[in-house]
Amino acid sequence: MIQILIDTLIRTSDLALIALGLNLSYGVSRFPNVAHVEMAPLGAAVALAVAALFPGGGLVGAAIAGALAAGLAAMLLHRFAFERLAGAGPASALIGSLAIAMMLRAGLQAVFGTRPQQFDTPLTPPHDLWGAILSDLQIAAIAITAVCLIGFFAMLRLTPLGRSIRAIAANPALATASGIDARRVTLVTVFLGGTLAGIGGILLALVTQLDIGMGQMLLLPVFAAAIVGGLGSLPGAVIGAFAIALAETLVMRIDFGLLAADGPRYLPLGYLTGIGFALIVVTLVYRPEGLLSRGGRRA
Amino acid sequence: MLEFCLHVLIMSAIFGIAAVSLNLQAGTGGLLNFGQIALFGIGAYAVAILTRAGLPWPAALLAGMGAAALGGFAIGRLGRDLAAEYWALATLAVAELVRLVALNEDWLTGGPQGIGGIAGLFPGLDGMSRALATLALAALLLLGTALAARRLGQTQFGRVLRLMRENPDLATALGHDIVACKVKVLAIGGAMAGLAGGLYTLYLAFIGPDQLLPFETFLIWTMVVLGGLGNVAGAVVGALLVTALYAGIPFLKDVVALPSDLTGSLRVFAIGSIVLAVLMLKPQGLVPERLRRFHAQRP
Repeated sequence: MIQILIDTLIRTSDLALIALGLNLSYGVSRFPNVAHVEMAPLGAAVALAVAALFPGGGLVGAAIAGALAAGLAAMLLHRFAFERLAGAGPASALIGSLAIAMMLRAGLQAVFGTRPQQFDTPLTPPHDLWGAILSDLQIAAIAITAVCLIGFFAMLRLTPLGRSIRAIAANPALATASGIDARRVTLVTVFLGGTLAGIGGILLALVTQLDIGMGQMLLLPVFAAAIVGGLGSLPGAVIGAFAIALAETLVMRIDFGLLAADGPRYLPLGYLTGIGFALIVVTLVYRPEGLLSRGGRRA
Repeated sequence: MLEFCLHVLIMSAIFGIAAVSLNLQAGTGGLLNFGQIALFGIGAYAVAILTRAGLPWPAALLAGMGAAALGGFAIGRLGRDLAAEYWALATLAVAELVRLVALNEDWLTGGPQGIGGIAGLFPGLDGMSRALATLALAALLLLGTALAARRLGQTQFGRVLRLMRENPDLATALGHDIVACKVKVLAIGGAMAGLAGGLYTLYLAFIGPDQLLPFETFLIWTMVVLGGLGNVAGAVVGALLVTALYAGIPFLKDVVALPSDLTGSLRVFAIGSIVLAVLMLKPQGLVPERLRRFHAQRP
């Protein structure tokens, strides 16, 4: 039971920051940016490279560099590609973001190679928490995710920047009329979104390993989290990540044989990745606006 | 060299059919189907399974088209009241689910190994004459598909599809049943994509889950975007160019010294940059859609 909770929390921390970044960017740019998930391997790869170049700089410095690089990349992409593409409508922006995602992935593979790499972290024995197994790194990842989430939502509620971001997400025309520089705030918001995704990627690479192709693996679970929570909704992204994590953990552990009473029967492991996809479909069919958002239905 | 050219031409014709199908859905109807490869795959697998069971290939091809049309019908029903981008994400998820089923249901689809050793086309001929006969058949079917798609675009139904693309609310207000149109165009597009998939299986005598990756959908999108959304001839031109480029890039290593794992990345990068460049610089594509000056002929 505890193990289920722990597994869910670990998976939530994998997805939450990236999904939050996605919804944050969606709120101001109003198209689902497929290239966003590529900021995760980008941030992790830069962090790894910085850690290798400056061995004395420490892991934290490298992680900060990686996260900032991801944010910067997201901002530059928005400034030089998506601003123009979004002008031609969300369809162009969506196809363009797919193209950029492909190019980023291919570029990262060309520069960093396809072999999985690992951060140089000390090996420590795992902890036994009421029967659940948990490593130091996993605890750190969950804690850092929690701190980032709390810090982010505090910023959103309490600072002038947070207020501007909320204003633009709610009503861009009115926000501009009230004297907010929409373009600048949008760029800053996209930067924040990219940074969040970068942190998420770095944590994922720390706990497991850096797989340059992780964007492909993250794409649908992250979109599932964002859509289940409500595309554009910030608390929704976190709740959505938790919902996806819980569904993935539970479905793998439920013994479907108990229903038919003919011995243990589990869902084949190969379908694990399908749970996110299935949840996207179910959510879009029955509640396209997600748990916490509005819009999504046609007219 | 001649054999290679024949191969590229045959593949162009096969993917041309898939591109014409996507062009009908996305170009004419404005439906952002990011799961096109699923329809292609349903046709491909249906043909593989049925020919293995002893059905002659023309019958298997027809059955594959029927199965893929049903698939298109189902995808159309699924997101009947979703906004365009949401529906696009749902189709992406559906395509991944189809691929997961192909990957995991070994008894039906051969699992990760796929289905090989399919009897194929024209078993009586061999070598060059067989390739020529295959090309003739593929080109004939492409011509048939293209003419059908063009004819469809000229009818009242095609006009309603364009209206649905430009302004769905207006289409509804004028009394058109958008859901019915959507489902109908997806079923027709599905049958075309299924034909392409079936031909693909028959030509290569193999189909596997790796042929159904989201990247393949993106490849078909590249053909349509490059050729020009909304124009049947554009889709055919785009298919020829993209197939030739995609097949030709590995030969670059004979010209400039490139490590072989780089050529894979380079291929993906090239495809991505084509789409991005077209969207940013010439969004109407190489062969722009020509809006008709005549009134549609009523059926």
